[in-house]
Amino acid sequence: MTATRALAIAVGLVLGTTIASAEIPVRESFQLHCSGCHGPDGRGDGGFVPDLHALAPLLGVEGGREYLARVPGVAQAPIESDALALLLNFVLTEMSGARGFEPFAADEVERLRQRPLLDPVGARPLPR
Amino acid sequence: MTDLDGRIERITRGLARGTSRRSLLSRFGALLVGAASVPLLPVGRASAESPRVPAPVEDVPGDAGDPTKCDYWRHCAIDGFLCACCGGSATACPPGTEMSPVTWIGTCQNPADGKEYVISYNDCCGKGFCGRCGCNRNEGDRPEYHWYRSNDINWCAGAESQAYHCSVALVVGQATEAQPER
Repeated sequence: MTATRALAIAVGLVLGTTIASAEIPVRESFQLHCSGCHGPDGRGDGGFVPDLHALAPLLGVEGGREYLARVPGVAQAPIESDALALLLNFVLTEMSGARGFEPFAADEVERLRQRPLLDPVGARPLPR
Repeated sequence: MTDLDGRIERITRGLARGTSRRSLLSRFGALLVGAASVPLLPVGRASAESPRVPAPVEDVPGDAGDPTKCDYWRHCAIDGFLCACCGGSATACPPGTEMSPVTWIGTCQNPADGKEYVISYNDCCGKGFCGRCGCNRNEGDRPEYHWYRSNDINWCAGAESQAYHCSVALVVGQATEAQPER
């Protein structure tokens, strides 16, 4: 096997993985992985279940970005990290109206979700 | 005639002195806004359903099937009493019960077109066990530690009353693939 061929296969594998796990439309991912508790519009229930339209301030405080990817509902969602990054960015931009932030990347989400928060309520950098 | 002219002129001038065009604008504006906000007053509307409960998408191809049967395709992961046997339907809670706002969501394959559809399994709460048409199919069901994919949870935990009565299976969209993968 030549180096070029090996490289082509490696690139193909990487691309293939990305396409395979990110091919579900992000709104469908939201339906499947978020809407059961947060509701079809992401508004939460006004009490126990948080409103996904109110997350933008977390991006502006220390530890907020890490919190968003390590909170158990996100970290333990049964999808690959590239699809999870898309889903997080979708919720932040489309629902919370967050602007001008560095979108979550798959490798960042992959790294952060390895350590789900042990005490999500205590670890929240801002009150709800 | 001159007298009438004079009186009208006096009245008009008096009105012009006593009021301003801005006040006219503001009062007229208030009238417009007031009229526009009348429809916003909090009166009950059939269309104002709670957004907490998903809107079913019911234009699904093929035989609608029998929602009182356990083998009805959209019951593929249900665990409970079928609301269609309890005074409700596959998509509506029986009278006197409330649809749980939290639920779990999975997919089922429609035999008519072979496609997967996203199903929201909402519990109907507020009365004791219905007891009719018990159905326990568990395709895609996950253990309780994976609680947002578990049908063994009493999802009435999110409702006003935690008393479980029956379950509905709402088709809320088309799915790209079966979830969780089977």
